[in-house]
Order: sequence, then C-alpha cells, then structure tokens
Amino acid sequence: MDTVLEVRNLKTYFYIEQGVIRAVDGVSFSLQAGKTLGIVGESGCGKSVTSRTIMRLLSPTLARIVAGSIKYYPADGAPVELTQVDPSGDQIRDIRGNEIAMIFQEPMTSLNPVYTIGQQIMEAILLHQDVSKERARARAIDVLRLVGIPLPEQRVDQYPHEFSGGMRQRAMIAMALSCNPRILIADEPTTALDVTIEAQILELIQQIQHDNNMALIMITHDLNVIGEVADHVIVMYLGQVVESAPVDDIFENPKHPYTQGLLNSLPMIGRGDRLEPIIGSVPGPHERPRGCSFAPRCPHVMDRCRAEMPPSFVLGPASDVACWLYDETIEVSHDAN
Amino acid sequence: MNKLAGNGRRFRLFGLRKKHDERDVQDEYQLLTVRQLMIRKFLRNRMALLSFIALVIIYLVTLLAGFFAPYTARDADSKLTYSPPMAIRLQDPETGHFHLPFFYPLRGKRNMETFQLEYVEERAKRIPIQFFVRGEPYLALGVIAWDVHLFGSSDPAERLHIMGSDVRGRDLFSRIIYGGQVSLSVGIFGVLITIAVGSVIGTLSGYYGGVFDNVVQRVIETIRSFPQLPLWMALAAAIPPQWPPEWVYAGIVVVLAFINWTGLSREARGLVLSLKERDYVHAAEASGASTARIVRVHLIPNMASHIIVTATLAVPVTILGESALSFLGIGVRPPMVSWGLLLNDAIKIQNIVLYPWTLFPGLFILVAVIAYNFLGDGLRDMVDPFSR
Amino acid sequence: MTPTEAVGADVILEVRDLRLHFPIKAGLLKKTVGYVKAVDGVSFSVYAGETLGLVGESGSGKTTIGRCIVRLYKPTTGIMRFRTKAGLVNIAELDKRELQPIRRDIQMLFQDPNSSLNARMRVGDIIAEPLDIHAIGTAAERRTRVEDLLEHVGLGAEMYNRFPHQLSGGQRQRVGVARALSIEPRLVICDEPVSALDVSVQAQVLNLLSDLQEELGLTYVFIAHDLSVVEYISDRVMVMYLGKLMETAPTRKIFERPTHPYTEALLNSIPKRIRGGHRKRYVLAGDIPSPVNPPSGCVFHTRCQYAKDICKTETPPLQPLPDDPETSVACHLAEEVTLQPYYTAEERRVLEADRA
Repeated sequence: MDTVLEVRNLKTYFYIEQGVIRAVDGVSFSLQAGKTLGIVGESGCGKSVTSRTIMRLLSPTLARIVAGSIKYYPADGAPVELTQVDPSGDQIRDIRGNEIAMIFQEPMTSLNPVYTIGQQIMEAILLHQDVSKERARARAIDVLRLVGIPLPEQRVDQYPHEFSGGMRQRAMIAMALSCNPRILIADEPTTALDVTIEAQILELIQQIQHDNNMALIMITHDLNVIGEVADHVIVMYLGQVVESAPVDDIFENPKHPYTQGLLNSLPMIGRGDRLEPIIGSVPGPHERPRGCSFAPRCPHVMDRCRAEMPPSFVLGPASDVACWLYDETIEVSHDAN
Repeated sequence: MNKLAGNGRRFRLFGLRKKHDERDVQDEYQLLTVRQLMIRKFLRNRMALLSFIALVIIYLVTLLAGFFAPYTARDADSKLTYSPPMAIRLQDPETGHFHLPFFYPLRGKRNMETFQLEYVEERAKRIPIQFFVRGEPYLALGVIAWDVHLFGSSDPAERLHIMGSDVRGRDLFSRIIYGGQVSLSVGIFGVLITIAVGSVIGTLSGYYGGVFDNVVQRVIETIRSFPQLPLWMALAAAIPPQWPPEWVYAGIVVVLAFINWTGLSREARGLVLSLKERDYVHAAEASGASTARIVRVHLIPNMASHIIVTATLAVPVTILGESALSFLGIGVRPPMVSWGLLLNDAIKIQNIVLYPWTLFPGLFILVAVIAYNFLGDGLRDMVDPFSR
Repeated sequence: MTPTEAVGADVILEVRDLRLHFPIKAGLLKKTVGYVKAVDGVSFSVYAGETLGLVGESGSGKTTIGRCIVRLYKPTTGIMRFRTKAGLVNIAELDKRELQPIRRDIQMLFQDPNSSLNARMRVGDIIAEPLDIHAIGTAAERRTRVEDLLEHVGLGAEMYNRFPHQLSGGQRQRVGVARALSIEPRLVICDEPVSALDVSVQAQVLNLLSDLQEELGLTYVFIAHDLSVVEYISDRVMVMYLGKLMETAPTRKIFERPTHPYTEALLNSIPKRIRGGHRKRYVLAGDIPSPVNPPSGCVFHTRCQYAKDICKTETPPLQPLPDDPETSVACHLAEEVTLQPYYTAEERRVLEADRA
C-alpha cells in the first residue's frame, strides 16, 4: 500500500520558564493513502502537538523538534523530510494546506471574522493553484456544495458569524478540501459540536475521504469517534505511544493497561455496571515518572515498570505495545530506521 | 540550536539549571508558584527592571531633597545669574596634576558689545568639592532639622552650580531635585485619586449595568471627547488665583485625575463584565453571597493586578500633564517648584539659545516618563505569567 | 394545571410552566427588539433522592433551567415550588433576602472547574465559602468541616492550602463537589459536571457523585449533553429541544422505547459498538433553529422525519401516555409512529450473548 506519511521516533519538547516539557516523546506511525489513523489520548498526551509538529505550526521560539523524522511522500518526486524544512519557508507553504490540510476543534477561532467564507476558501486556492479568480470562486462554491452547505452560491458571500457551529465546521472542511489534499489532519473536529452535528460531520469527512482516496489522521479524546472512523489506532499517554493496533483490536482486545482503563471508564449505554476509572490523574510535567509513564496509575504495575521505560513490543503484524507485561516477545526499536 | 543556547543562558542566570542533556527527567521541570513565575517574568524584562531601579533612585533623591541638593530651592546668588553648568574636575588643566574633585569658580564679565554677561573660570582658585558638607539648613523628610548636604562647595562664598543657575542665580540642580517632589508626587497622588474613583465607578457600572452604567459611560465619553490638554487647561484656569500654592497643588492633582479616572474606570468595567460571568462568581451568588462580598473576595483580587498596570501607565500621563500646565504657567505656582515650572524658563527661544541648561528639567521629565512606561510594560508581562 | 393542585409528598421540587425570555436589546436607547425564548413553558417534578437527567443539544435551554432553579436567573413567569421544612415555597417569586435560607438547600456544581474556582483563593477557602456566607460554625469548626469534606471527595486534608492551578482537572472538580456539599444541600444541580474532564477522570467523578448521593441522600438534577453519561447516572430523563420539554420518562424506557421523534434522533446519533464494529449513526439533518424565532407548532417539526401538517400549526402539549403514566411526551404522533430504540432487538440479543 502506498505510504504517504511516515513518522519515526518524533520528539518535540517545549522550553518554557519552568523548564522542559516533553510534549511528544517518541512517536512513530505510518499513514497510507485512503486509510485513517486515529490518535487517541487524554489532554496533555501530546496528540495535538504531534499534528502541529507535522504541519510545522509550532512557534520555533517555544517548541523544538529534538529528535526523529517526519517523511512526507509526494505523489511524484522525492520524499520530503518535514523536520528539516524551514517552518516559515516556501517549501512547507507549498505542502501545508495544499497537500496536507488540517481542521481544528473550534472553527470560529480558525476562521477570520472579517473575510467572507468564500474569500477565505479562494485565498487557499489562489495560494496553491495557478487559476483565475473566477475559477477559484467557482471551486469555492463547489467545495461548499460538496460539504453539504445549502445554497452555496449565496453562502459563499457570507461571513463566519452568519454560520452556525456545524456549518462553520463544514466551511472549515471545505477550506481544507479546496486544494484536494492527500492528507487531512482533523484535530478534535467534533468536540465542540452537539452529538447530532457530530454525526453529520463525521459522515461528511468519511465520505470525502472515500471519494478522494485521502489519508486521514483523526485526533480525538473520544474513543467512540475513533471506533467509527479509524482503521488503525495509536493510543498516546504523556507524549508516548503506549499501544498501536488495528481499531478492532483496540476495542475487542486492548493490550496496554491504559487502553483497557480508558475503555473501562467509558460509560456505554446498556452496560449498567459501575464504571472502573483509572486511579489518580495524569501527572504534571514536574512529577513525570522515571520508568513507564503510566506506572503510577497502572493496576498491573511491577518494580521494573517504575525503574525502566518499556520499549515497544511487537505483538502482531500491526500491533505494538509499550508495556513490560509483554516482554516475552521480540523487542524492536524504531530508532534503527 | 541557537534557541537552546539562549535558553540555557537564561536558566543559568538563576543558578538553577544544568545543561539540558545532563538533567534527570524529573529535574528538568520545576513547579513554580504564580508569584515565582511573576517575579521571573519581571526580571526577564531588563528595561522594566532598569526603569524600576531608576525610579526608586529618583524617588529616594527627591524624598531626601534637602540632603541630596547642595542648596535649597530659594537660595539665590545675584552674582551668578544664568551661570552655565560648572565642570567638576579631577585634573588641573595647566599642570596636569590630579586632585580630589574640585571646580573653578565662575566670574561674570559684561561683554560690552553684546551686553551679555559672560562667565569665565577663575583658574587661580581651585575649590575642592566636599562631601557631607554643612550648608543651608533644611528639614529632612519635612521634620528633622539638619544642615548636612551630600556634596557641595567647600567655600560657602563660592557656589557650585553643576547644572547652571537661573535668572536669579538659584542652583538649577537643587531646584530640579525640589521640583521633583512636586512633579513626581503629582503623579502618585493623581493616580491614587484615579484608582479610587475609577475603580469604584468602573466596578459598580460593570457589576450593576443598567441605567447607572449607561449614564456613567455617556459621562466618560463626553469627558474623553474633549482633547485632553485644552480640557486640562480650562479646568486649571478655573482654579482661583488667590488660593495659596498648596491648594493650587491639590487643585492641579484633582484636575489631572479628572480625565485619567475615565480610562481606568473603563478598564475596571471591562474586567468586571468578564469576571462576573465566571462560574466562581455564579457559585458565590448561588450560595447567597452579598454583592459586597463578591466584589471584595472575587472581583477585586482578580482585578488588582490589571488595575496596578493601568495605574502605573497613568502616572507618566499625569506627570506630563502637570509639567505641561506648569510650563504654560497655569499649573503650580511659585514659590513651589516643579519640573514643568522650571522648564518655563526655557519658554523663550532666545533663552534656549543663550542658556541651554534651562532645558535640564525636561531631561528629568523624559527619564521619569520613559521609566514609568517601561515599568508598566514589565508589570503587564508579569500580570499574566502563563502567557509566554 | 393549577397552582393549587396537590403535590406528592415525595416531590422535592415542582416546576410549573417555567419561562425565561431574555430580551434582545439594540440601538442607542437599548430598545427591546425581541426575546430569546431560552425556556418556554416547562413543567416537571423532581422526586426526593432521585437523579433527574436533563439532556438536549446546546441552545435547548437545559442550563438555563438549572440556573433558574438555583435562582441565578429570575424566571419571566412560572412557579417553582421547593419543599422546605416549613412546606412548599415558590422560589420563583422570592427576593434576595427571602432566598437566603433556601440557598442552603439548593447548590450547583459547575461544568468547568477552571472557571468555577477562583484562582486567587486557596482550596480550603473555596470550599468554606458557602459556610462563610451563611456564617455556619466557628472558624475552627469550619476548618474541620472542610478537612472532612476534602477527605470525603478523595483529596486529602493536605490540599487545604493549595491553589487551584496546582491541582489537576479532576482534582479541581472534586473541590467543586466539596464546595457544593459544604452546607449540606438537599438538591444539587449538576451542570455538565464531567464534560470538561478527561475520560478516565470523568468516570471517577461520576462514581464519586453516585457514592455521595447514596450516602447523603442527595437529589440531583443532572444536566448533560452526553446521553451515555446521563444513562449511567440518571433514574429519569427529560429531553429538551429549543426551550421545551419533548419527553420525560424513566431512563431505561427512554433508551428502550423512545416516544418522541427527537429522542429517537438523539439516541440514534450516539455512537454504539456491537461485536466487531461501530454501527453507523443516524444523521439528523439540519441545525437547531434560532430560539428568537422558534418554529410554529411543534418546535421540532422542521427536522422531524415524521412531521405532518398538524405539527406545523399546533403545539403538542406534554402529556402522559395512556398506557404508561411514567412517560410523558409532547408529540401529536406519539401513538401513531413506532420509533427505533437505541439498540434494536437484534443488537440487544448480540450484546446479551456477548455478556453471558
């Protein structure tokens, strides 16, 4: 299958007044055309920083990529090492928005209130494609129609505040799609929306993905969203990937105690049992554990977990888990790549 | 890479940080209290720190004016009118020998062509500068009678004017120090009134809204729709001329605060409007907290830092206001001195050409105003320690 | 229904025809140009010791109802009779002073612990605030009480002197719980208390709330947009849409036999997973209309797949089903259409087989 993006051992640290925050601390995955990768984790697990690192959107005065690689494979031409490009240069601008597009959680803050929806979509098109204004406008109307906005010929001239929350998210998606990106990164696209609107938006994203053979990275804290759209899932905790597996394995046969804990704390209708939450809370950067980052909350914790960080153990063709409970299998290091 | 080096340097400034790679995972991040974070933010802003130190020094000097000034503000020497600044020397220009600090006295001579008084140094008479010299008596801090000055001429008959003198031969440097008492305190008192009036009215109009808010906002808009200086001038001109100088001083303070409170009041109102929708205020309301309690426990502590910043930035405006009014002759009146009033000597262009040192008070105004602005900026950074 | 109608002895709060219309003001003179009908004629009862779930999309008015009950808002019209020791009191009409004793009995738990805790106050002072306001006990007694509460909500007395920003999100919400319980209320309005929390922490707080309820005999009105959370914690559920009640029924019945098309749509837009995969959700088309100009007739008719002509003109009243007095529904077609439950019979069989 054609891989479009390959991330290996990525580490992004923040340098702030209080010291260093290891926001992303060794993340690896690969993404294939037409497939969906789900990244799931709680707040502070580094899932959003991962996506912003790929897009090179982080402020270089604050965040630094300290290790790892992000390889983007264009449709034609040599692979691009995204960690090496100038974050404000032409090369990333050609890729960002054009080949890799992103939609955000809160559409209102990502849309500029003083321009019409149409102007903002046209801007994206004109930036990346050599077309006339009229063509760009026609394309803007097309994508608005594509994302299910009624009367796109009129809506194209309206301002973001004239759109409802769901419609704004549709407009964001339209903007992201305007240049036919090969990869779409959706960062909590439905978290700010009601459940009925969430269903609409997820259906829309999946349909467009299917039509365009687009690769999708779905970043969310909501396991149910992951269950609906993802093919492969990586579970993140404190900047690290603790489990990587096909979506059905994550739900039917979760390996890592953290994944198991997440599933047990999820209220599921009709289950009726008392919820079994994970004890404690996500440690702050000042109390980062020495060994396995999940050790202080883990029901199966062993002495070894507190002392040593577990490597990734390979459990199947597409399943890895970073947990000492699975030590009898062969160890593999992604650093070798 | 450069960025990391920069960070390393910053961390080492506080003597707490090792190089990143050598550190243990748990040591690389410290949990700081809000106060620690605020102090670090402030120390990070060099200009603000520098300005803060400068202002502390200036205020200290003016507070102890009698000690730091070699003469009192009214001490005149009719032989030395408009004398230029006298040079403090360490080296004898003729022999090349070094001495303790000394100066040559100036002797006035009428130029018979221009009829100007021209001063020349009398090289024959080397007068040492003495520290902790006894001189004119004064009241330190307004109560303690004393006559020791930080420095001065060792010969009472030969006066030292390091920044020159004015038309009546009064020492400009001493007058600037005494003038600072007025100019700088006008800033402080003006802003105290501004804070008191502005934050109370702003808080009430933000909290209650409705008709009161509407009226207050319209009043503020009316006041602000006038250009600031002419409005000040009109109000200052209304101060009765027969008032004693102290009353005039108080009147000027009130006039200056009259415009400034509007800005602070808007700031306070905006803060209250956003704070009163916070859930902790709702929680207190739902528990039956009185308005007074909500204002005292929830609003004021959360507003204080913003108010202090706004107030700090209002001080230089007030100082400038007083200076402008006094410069134009409608501010404080003699025998009081203020920087603006001193600058009044430079109001005629020919004076500036002939006696450029009369511009020195302007320099002090400039320094104080700039320092306050930098300090305000630094405080603003500090108030929100979680922004970067 | 009339105000004189008898109220059952087990009812702690009786709400009749509650309306809250926020005026929209415009122009220089702030003339009222319209009203946001946030709550528009809602009647329900809360029974002592139960958890009443209140669900709906954003803009449905569920939070506004909660804020009316704790009297952060004064209702435009309507009656809210609350059972005090001295009998039923209409709290909708009371002024600030008269409300003071009632406020000890009704407390609120807020959604976002970041904004519901004053960052300048210590945890102990935050929890003690309601005690302070009502001048309960001496300073030492209050401190003991707060330390007890801290232990009770699983924080430990050593948290007394911490500041909120030194706590994690879940810990902060526990502080919020302790504050709400400090003056021993009987009714707690929980306004989306877990939706700002991480999944693993959300479960902790839900468990804490149900433990405390059992222990202290609390009554909850639990406002949430997440039906799976409501299903977990509630005994009964009220479904709201655009300021009106659509349906109210015991929790199990809502999920097994929805009677309002909106309930059906809401249920079937929740993700569900049955053996080996997530099921496709039903997608309810369109957006919630503006509460300034709600649709005529049944407010849901613009999005209802079963809507008939009568729905566009006549507002259906909320009335009990003839065969099931526990369930009330506001729909002209309640007896005509058969609606899809959350799990189909087939799915239920699979689930039960899996569990066995």
